[in-house]
This record gives sequence, structure tokens and C-alpha cells, in this order.
Amino acid sequence: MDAAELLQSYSEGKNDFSGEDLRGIRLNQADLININLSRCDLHGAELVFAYLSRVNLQGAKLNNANLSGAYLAQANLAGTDLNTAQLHGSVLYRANLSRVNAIFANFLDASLVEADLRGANLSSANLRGACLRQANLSSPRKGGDRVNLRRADLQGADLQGADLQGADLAWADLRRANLKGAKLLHSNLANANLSNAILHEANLNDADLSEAILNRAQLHQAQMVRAVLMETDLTDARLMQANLTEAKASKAVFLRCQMHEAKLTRADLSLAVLRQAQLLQAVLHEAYLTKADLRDADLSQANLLKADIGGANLTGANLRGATMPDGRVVN
Amino acid sequence: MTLAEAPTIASVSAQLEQSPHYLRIKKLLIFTCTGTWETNPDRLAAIDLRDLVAQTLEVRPTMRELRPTLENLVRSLNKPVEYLPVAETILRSLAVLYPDEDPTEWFRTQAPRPQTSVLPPQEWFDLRLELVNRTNPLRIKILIARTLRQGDVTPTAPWLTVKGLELERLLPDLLLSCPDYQELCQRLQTIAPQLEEPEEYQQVVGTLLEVLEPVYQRLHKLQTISDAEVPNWSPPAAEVMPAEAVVVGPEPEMVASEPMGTDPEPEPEPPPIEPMVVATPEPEVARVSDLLQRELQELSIEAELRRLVSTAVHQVIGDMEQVFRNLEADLEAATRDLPPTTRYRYLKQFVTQVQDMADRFAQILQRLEERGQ
Repeated sequence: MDAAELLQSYSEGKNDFSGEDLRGIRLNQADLININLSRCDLHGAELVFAYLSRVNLQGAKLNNANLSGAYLAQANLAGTDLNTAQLHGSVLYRANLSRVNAIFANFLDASLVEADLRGANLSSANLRGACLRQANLSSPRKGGDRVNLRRADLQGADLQGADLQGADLAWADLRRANLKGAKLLHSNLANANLSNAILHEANLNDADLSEAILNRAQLHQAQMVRAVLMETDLTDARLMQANLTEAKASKAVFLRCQMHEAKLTRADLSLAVLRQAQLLQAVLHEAYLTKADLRDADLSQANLLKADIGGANLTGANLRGATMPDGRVVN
Repeated sequence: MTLAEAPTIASVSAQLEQSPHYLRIKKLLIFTCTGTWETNPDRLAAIDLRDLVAQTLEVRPTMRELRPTLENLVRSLNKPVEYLPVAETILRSLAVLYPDEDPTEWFRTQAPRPQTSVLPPQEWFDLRLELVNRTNPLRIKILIARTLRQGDVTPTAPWLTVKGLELERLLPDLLLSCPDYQELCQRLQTIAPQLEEPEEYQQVVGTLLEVLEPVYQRLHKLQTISDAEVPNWSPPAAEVMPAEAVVVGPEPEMVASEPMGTDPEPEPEPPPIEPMVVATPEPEVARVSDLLQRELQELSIEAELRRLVSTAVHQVIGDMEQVFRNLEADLEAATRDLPPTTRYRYLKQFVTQVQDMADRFAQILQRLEERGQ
């Protein structure tokens, strides 16, 4: 079936084109609202600026298709093959993209607000500048497919309030991304780059951030209970009032970090670099600070009760008003 | 890329010549190469852009050297906002001529993103969200790119023109290139009818204008405060020329349009500081050439010292502005339910403490200076 035939049939009221072979079809700017294209082969199709709101594309093959600027609001794309597809600047507001295969797909500056991306494979996809506010990228704790965003380019992406529980974001590029209030618990962010990212009030409980880069990241009031921060680079990050209770932060770098009132109870900070860190009124109760570098750190009024500071370097540290491991308060 | 397609000084110069900011590009490059701020139209026209580009590559052999030179220069001008995109254009275009640099990577990781500081990062996200919720993101990009004459021009496939551009950059660039709202309206409304499916773009224009109007109102207010309170910085002296050859003047074209009437005169010269020259035995009869030589040396050192101080001050002010903005945002979040006076009190506390610290440094330096005398 070619484009003319399809458009003719559609204008005559036919709506169901499911299972058709539409490879390479050119339907740029076509108005195809509500059309049923489920299980169609649309490999290499051109649908630039096409109006495809509420369209049914379930199970369709869209690999290598060009859907740049297409309107796909509330469309059903569940289980579609979008590998290497172009979705640059497309509108996928509240679209169902669950279980899509979108490896190397291009979602540059696309709108994916409130989209359902559960079980999607987006590894190495370009999601730079994409808007994913309130999108659902969660994975079930046991069984089911985990959202795969490994090595995805999410620079400057807007993921505020998105649900990324259990998502695999290893090696993802999240520089300058907005993750304010995002749910990232149990997610894998190992080796990810989160420099300059906004993570205020994000939930990173039990997340794996080992060897990740968080330079200048904003983690004000972030929840990072039991988070793995082994060898994580948090230079110049802002962690005021963040909760790092029982975090595993051995060898992590907190150089010049702002950590006023942060909770670090029972956190493992052995061999961590906390040089010039601002730990005013921080709670380091029972923290493990063996061989930590705390030179020139500001620990005034911090609570170090029962903390293990064996071999820690406190040269030049400000301990005024701090409660020391033995309960003594420094004048 | 084949050898024939490889960028050359000629091809890059030809590309720069097409820029609407051609004259400003020349001015920035002349300053980079000679340390002179050229405003004479005849002299500007007489200088070949290809020679300038070639000379720039010589005096600034790496991008890492060119970038801070241009950045510092732009900061020092009366209208940095207008010159920032011009400097970006130069950096973008010339990046391909630096063989050791991967221009794409360089811009990803090294390029300054000063334009984004016009608004706090969170506000850019909110702005983008509002735009993409109300209109088509790709059409917004095409419209802005055409307005800014960015991207490749391929009329058969307009979406390809913006394939390599990001809304994250285009929006701040648009704001910077249109300093006032009226100009923004005029430019967008001129471009929209020229695009394929103009009626679609009229809707995009309407949305963009509606969303950006409050931003312009806020920026205008901030600009008014900043013009009233921040003194005009004297531009840094050029690094490549002796101090006496540096002629940094105001820009008549910019001064004329300055709403707050910035002082068109250069900053008065600060009193000369003591040259840090190791004392040498005075010859019994000083020769004129020796004296002249020494005077030149002293002038050169003085200019260098002033430049170092000026650069450091710029850095501190820039950092402080960022810290202030962050603190304000944090305080705003923390005092949401309290009257704004609470926030102002803590902001004032911050400024006072910084001031105290600066005073302490000044006292220490004063004592050290006295001891050394």
C-alpha cells in the first residue's frame, strides 16, 4: 500500500490498517489522528510533523523511521521497534511507550511528559534536552524488565518528578539534567555523569552511584539512605540537609562539598576526601571516618559521637562546638 | 570528510562574513590579535577577515587560550550581552581550524555556558516545559534557528536544519540576541511568514512571545538594578601588546542605545601602583634610552598586574553572583511559608559576612604591606 492509497482510504472513513506493509511510506505532515497502525511494518517510513495523536502503533516496526516533530500525544506505541528511529522534537505527551526497543533512537528535545516508558530499552538513545516530567520509567523490584538507559545521552533532560525506580542508568550522561524530586531509589547510576545536575529532594535511597561524577550537583535535601557512593566524585556538590544515613561512601570525594546539616549517621566514609567540606551541624553519629581526609573542613557544631576517626586527617579543621566521638564538646 | 571538504581559513572566513554580526566579529578578532578596539568604519572595512582569522590562530594557538581571551574581552565591554553570541559564533566557527581539538567535544565539555546564567537553571527547565506543553518543540527550534540564522539552510527539509542544535542553547541565544521584547516580537514575526506552513509558525510565535514576555519584564528589572548599582569595569589590557598600545574605547553604536546612559568614557586610569621591579644599581649618568626602556618595562608590568587583578575580580564577582542566586533559591524554598523579609535578612547576612571576610583580608594585607616598608 502506498501513501496515496492509504490517505484515500483514510479520508473515506477506513481506520484500521493494522498489519499492513508500509515500509518507507512517506506521510510527512499527514493528518492521521486515531488511525490503527498496530503491527504495521513502517521501517524507514517518513512521518515528519504527522498528526498521529491517539494513534495505535502497538507492536509496529518503526526502526529507522523518521517521526521528527510528529504529534504522538496519547499514542499507543507499546512494544514498538524504534531502534535508530528519529523522534527529534516530537510530542509524545502521555504516550504509551512501554517495552519499546529504542536503542540509538533520537529523542532530542522531544516532549515525553507523563509518558509511560516502563520496561523500555533506551540504551544509547539520545534524550538530550528531552522533557520527561512525571514520566514513568519505573521497574518492578523483582521480575519484569528494567528500564534500560545505559549510556543514554540525557544531557539537559528534564526528569523532574519522574519515576526512575530501579532504572539502569549506568554510564548515562546526565550533565545539567533536572532530576528534582525524581524517584531514583534502587537505580543503577554507576559511572554516570551527573555534573551540574539538579537533584534537590530526589530520592536516591539504595541507589548505586559508585564511580559516578556529581561535580557541582545540587542535592539539597536529597534522600541517599544506604546509597552506594564508592569512589564517587562529589567535588563542589551541594548536599545541605541531605540524608546519607548508612551510605557506603568509601573513597568518595566530597572536596569543598556543602554539607550543612547533612545526616551521615553510620555512613562509611573511610578514605573519603572531605577536604574543605562544609559540615556545619552535620550528624556524623557512629560514622566510619577511618583515614578520611578532613583537612580544613568545617565541622563546627557537628555531631561526631561514637564516630570512628582513627587515622583521619583533621589538620586545619574547624571543630568549634563539635561533639567529639567521646562525647566531649570542643570549645 | 574529504580533504576538499576540510575547513580552511578561507571557508571559515567566508562563513563568518555571512554573519549578521560581521562587524562585531571583526572588532573582537582585531582586539584578540592587536589589543586595539577598532571602531573606525573605514579601517574596519580595510582589514581582511581571512588575515584576522590566520593571525588569531597564531596568537591563540589553542581553543583553551582563545576562549578566555574572548570571554574576558566580552565581559569588559559595555554591552556584554550583545557580544556574547558573537564570541560564541567565533569560537564555534574557529574550533574546526584547531587540529588538536574535537570541536564537538570541546563545546560539550569546555564551552562556557554563560548565557544560561541569565536565569537560574530551574527556570530554564520551567520555561522549556511551558513551551513544549503548548507547541511543537521542533517548530520552536526551527523558528529560533532561522531567527538567529543558526544551523544549515536546507529548504527542502527544515527539520534537518536544527538536527545539531539544542533548545537548551537556542532559547538563551534568542534572549541574548534580542535585548528587548519589541525586537523579539519584530524579529519572530518577520521570520514566521517566510517558513513553510507559516500559519503553524504563527502559533509558535504567539506562544513564544506569551511565554517569554514575563521573562523580559524580569530581566529588564534586573538590568535596571544592575546598571544602577554595578560600576563599569575597565576592560582588561591585551596580553599580546604592550600596555601603551591598548586602546580600549566605548562603542558609540552600543552607547547610543544604552537605556540607562552608561558612561561612554573609559574608566579613569587608577593611580599608578608601585612597580615590582628588582632594584638595580643606578648608573652614574642615566642614558635616555635606558630610562625609556625602564619606563616601558614598568608600564608593561603595571598593565599586567592590573590585568591579573581585573581578571580575578571578574571571576569572584561571577562566582559570587552564582552563589547568591543559589542561596536565594535555597532560601526561597526553605522559607516558602514565611514573609520575604526573612529571606532578605539572611541574604543580607550572607553579604555582610562576605564583606567582613573581605575586610579581614584587607587588614591582613595592610599589615603585611606596613611590615614590608
